[in-house]
Amino acid sequence: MKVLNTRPRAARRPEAAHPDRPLACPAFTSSQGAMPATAGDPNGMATSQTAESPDLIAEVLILPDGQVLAHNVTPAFTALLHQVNPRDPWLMPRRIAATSARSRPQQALARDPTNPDCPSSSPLSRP
Amino acid sequence: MSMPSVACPPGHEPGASATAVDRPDRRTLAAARLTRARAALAACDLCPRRCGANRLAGERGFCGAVARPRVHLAQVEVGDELELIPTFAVALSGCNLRCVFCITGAQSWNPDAGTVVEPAALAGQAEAALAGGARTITILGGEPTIHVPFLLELVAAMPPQATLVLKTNGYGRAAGRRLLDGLFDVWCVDYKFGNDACAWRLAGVPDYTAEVRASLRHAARHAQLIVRHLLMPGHVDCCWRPVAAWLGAHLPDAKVSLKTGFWPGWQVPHCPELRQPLTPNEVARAHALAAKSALKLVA
Repeated sequence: MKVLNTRPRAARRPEAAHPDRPLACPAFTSSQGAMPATAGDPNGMATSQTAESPDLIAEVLILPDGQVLAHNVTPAFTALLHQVNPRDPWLMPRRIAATSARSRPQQALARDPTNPDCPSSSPLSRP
Repeated sequence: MSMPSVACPPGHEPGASATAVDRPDRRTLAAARLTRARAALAACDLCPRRCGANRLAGERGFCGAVARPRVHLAQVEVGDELELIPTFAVALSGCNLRCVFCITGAQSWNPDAGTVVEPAALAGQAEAALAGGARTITILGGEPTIHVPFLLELVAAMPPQATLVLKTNGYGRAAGRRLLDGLFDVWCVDYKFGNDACAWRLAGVPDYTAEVRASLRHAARHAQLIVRHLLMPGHVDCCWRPVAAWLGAHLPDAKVSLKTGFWPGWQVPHCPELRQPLTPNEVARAHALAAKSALKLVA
């Protein structure tokens, strides 16, 4: 969680939004939880939640003075927040960390046949 | 990117963190402790509440956790301290505290939130994340130390070269901590409250100060330590001031992460002073107190 000292402007939807979960600004709704790392993930780093974990949604809280609070900041989330304020001092090094990583596809979780709760298409993996 | 250099225990220098823990030994250690850790679940005493629940039989104590934890988050994140990111974060459900300001309380307090995932599967994801540029693997909660047996399995399954980070609220017992010795390169320990009255009122936790200080001292001896404090509105003097003073006096080499983005959410309406964000004056005073105690603040 961190204060981003910016007066936000409208965020554009990243071009590489995940087809199964278009951004549609879920990050700007009010809920508790973690960001499903989907949209605008330029590095293929994020292993995301899916609709099988509907309670997992990132939160951004915009305060009346223009401060933006965010938590569970994924690389994709960083890409989005970067558009809000590219010069934010807290965000900048994290953006660099996210973008300096190499692109590599994520592996899906294998099904555990002994465990019916472990899905074959994991909610914790990136397709 | 290399980890910044700070004073820390021999063998745990940040610049050499990727090799600080003897990796094959780490796996062996974890496997060797598993039987003892599982036995602790028969009458759970892993945290100071010592509820005695037989988690192996499905009984639930204060935290509600049973023998096998669920995972409510597993993803690469960049919101943590700069020396740790990008990190592959794995969040286990269930917690032994009830902080009214918890921003992930819906998942963290509910041990049934998320999905049962086998350690090997998480390790596979972690390996892919590392290959994709993640620098560390962070295990968090809820509170991960209420799931020591699973942590041991997870550590044993993780890539041997991985830098492992344990993020804990510090409200644990010595026996549980000893089971985790030598397995994590970095301990991120929350020091949330500066006195037992605030700890009881805001998190319903008894004997907080003594327990968390024991955890902090232990972590400082056995791993790299990052102490986190979430600055709370109205609690600069009662909580941050004594936390900063104690850290400065007793753990002067510890890295301290002062979080100033207090989020007035979850159940804070029950606590009037927490209904608003921090003021700039509170943040400035907090930094002044950190400077006065010569704390090594990290971003």
